[in-house]
Amino acid sequence: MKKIVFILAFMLIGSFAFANENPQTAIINDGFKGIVVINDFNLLTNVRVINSENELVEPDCLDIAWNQSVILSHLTGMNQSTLFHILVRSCWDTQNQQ
Amino acid sequence: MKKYKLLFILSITLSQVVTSQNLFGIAIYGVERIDKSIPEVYQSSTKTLIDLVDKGMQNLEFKLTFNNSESSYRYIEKMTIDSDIGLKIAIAGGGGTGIKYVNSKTKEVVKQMFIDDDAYLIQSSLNDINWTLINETKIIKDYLCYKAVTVIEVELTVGELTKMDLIAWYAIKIPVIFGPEGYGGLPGLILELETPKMRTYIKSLKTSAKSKIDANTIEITKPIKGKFVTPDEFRLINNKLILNYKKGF
Repeated sequence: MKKIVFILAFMLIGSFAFANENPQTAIINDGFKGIVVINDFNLLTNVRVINSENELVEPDCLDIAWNQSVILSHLTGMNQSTLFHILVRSCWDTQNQQ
Repeated sequence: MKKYKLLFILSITLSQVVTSQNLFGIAIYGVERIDKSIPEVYQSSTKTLIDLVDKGMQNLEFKLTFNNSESSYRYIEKMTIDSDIGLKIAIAGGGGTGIKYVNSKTKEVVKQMFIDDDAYLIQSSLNDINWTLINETKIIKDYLCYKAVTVIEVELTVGELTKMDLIAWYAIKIPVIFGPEGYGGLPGLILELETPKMRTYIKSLKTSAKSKIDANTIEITKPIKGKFVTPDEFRLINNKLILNYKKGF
């Protein structure tokens, strides 16, 4: 079933960062759309996934890996796709072990 | 007098040719993040993850083996990486577990990359890299190194190419055109390679005539396992797989 997931990214702390945030509604990727908040450094700092009823839902491995790969690619200069593959595999492996 | 000068230049040139014909070497490289500060805005989970990556990089080593005409660069496996997410990311930051091969005569570059369990051989040419030589020097491992810069494209966001400066420091005293991660094409061995975020640096270097280095340690391997693709094709395959994940395939 094709679900539409809204992704809300926001700044956690720092009034300066909040003052400079730039909320935008955007298609994040195929099948994913939502509201992103980007700071002066074009960084997403946190992602929360909410459903169409605006209820907070437990993010799955795809969401976690996507979020972490965005952050890590900016911190390391590595390709986001490379990071995403590693992170999503690791997340699935961890879930399967539980 | 002119004859003597000519003879002198000729003898130096010949001696260099003879030396370079017999040159073999092994270079061990490490990888590190340049700016290790983590912005306060990040969650503790991100800090933990980046700490694991930094820890993974501490003992990470890659080996470049070369002679005058070929080089291969590969990850030195020392510990199990199965469940170590920090180490996995650190290895990927250093170019991955695949072999990177360069041929100085044909200018051929073959980078073996893995996506999940599938192997790809990314083919390119040393001529694709447009280096600008800079008149700036520094000493690395007792070698006088010169600076060269180029611009590479990195997908910091999937589907969006970002231009990034790449700086190389090369030693002309080691007259081979090779370097780490399949980079090369400069008038000397690249001892250090850095983007604004990461640095690949030389940890140890041994060069010699063939007879002085153990034949087993100078093995130069051209990767053969994998599907041949261009850099652009590899990028598209990689991105398509991510979209398929998200669609639930």
